[in-house]
Amino acid sequence: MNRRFFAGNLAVAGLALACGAASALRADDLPKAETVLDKFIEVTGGKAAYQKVHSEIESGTMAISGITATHTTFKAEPDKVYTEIVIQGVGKIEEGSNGKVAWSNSAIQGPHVKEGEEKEFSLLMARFDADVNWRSVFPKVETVGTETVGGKDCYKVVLTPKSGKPMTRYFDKESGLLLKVLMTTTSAMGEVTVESTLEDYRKEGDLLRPHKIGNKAMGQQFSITIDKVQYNPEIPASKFDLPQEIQALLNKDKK
Amino acid sequence: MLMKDAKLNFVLFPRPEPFRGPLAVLVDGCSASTSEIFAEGMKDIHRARVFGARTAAAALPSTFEVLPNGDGFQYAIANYISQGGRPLEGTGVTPDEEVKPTRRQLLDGHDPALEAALGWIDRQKRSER
Repeated sequence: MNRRFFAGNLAVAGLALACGAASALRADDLPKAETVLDKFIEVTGGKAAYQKVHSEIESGTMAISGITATHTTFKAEPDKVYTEIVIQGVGKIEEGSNGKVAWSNSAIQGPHVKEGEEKEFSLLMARFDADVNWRSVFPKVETVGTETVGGKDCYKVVLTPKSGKPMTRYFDKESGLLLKVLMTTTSAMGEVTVESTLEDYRKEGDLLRPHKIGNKAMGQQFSITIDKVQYNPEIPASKFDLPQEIQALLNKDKK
Repeated sequence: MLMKDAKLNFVLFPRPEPFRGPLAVLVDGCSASTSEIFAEGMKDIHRARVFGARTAAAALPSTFEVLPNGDGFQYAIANYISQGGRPLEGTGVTPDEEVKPTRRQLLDGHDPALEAALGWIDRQKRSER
């Protein structure tokens, strides 16, 4: 018998019992989602600290199934993002958005211009101020219950964007920190539900940020470690230009 | 890929200027896993002709975990069904042209599957002219 699997099942059963008990809480007993989301901004540095940052570079490592990779993400206001993941022996996986076009270009899958729900989601994630200005990104937010994440009691908040699927965020009742995110993304591969746990909160400048993110998707687990964060670095505008292969696909579609 | 609680499409996006010439894929009993998925996928979309011998028939998508003692543990997480609707696990890829080398051919430095593939490519190129 796989002890880990068995233990995992017990944990899930325990969690289900805990959730059952928690769901007995009346909606009136729960704080408003607005309060929970604002508290997160407050405890991680405050609105003013967030608003001082206009661009950033975040880098670190990723590990999946014994394979390690390096990742670097460049972000700039209002909605520009470029991520580069380098897997030794495989190649480069790039993803980005210039605010209008969302794309990916992978050594494994090839170049891809995102459309529909996949594009909407990527553009949403590219919003530089999505955390601090959550009100403009998520018109509907609701605290739907409580749940335990890593032994900590959390408020479970469902955020619904203007378009696309809702996501659920779990905020530590005590510290106000975001500990887990559950979301379903749509891509050419189909619908994928991703569960991310956020740990190792440490200060980077004036902002408190998680440095370890564990992800579970499609039965696979992979972790992201953030080693370095730079605020307001000089990022050349060309960093967010569409790669040649993506531009070629767009030109081809126009014909 | 059919998983316990999800179905995932195995998607590849073509390059803007892909290679359009005749394409042969060589396989044999040592072609396993991803190489089988590749060969069957190319066959399904009629992009390549497969030469050689039936593949290993070991094509379940899997993942690795490191056990507490440092050993690696690989286990299947899904079943793979090809574009043509056929599972590869247990059946493998049947080549379009079955070519099995004899001991003598190998000792003499011949690879009959490669030679058959090259011959087919040559014929394709000639017919295109």
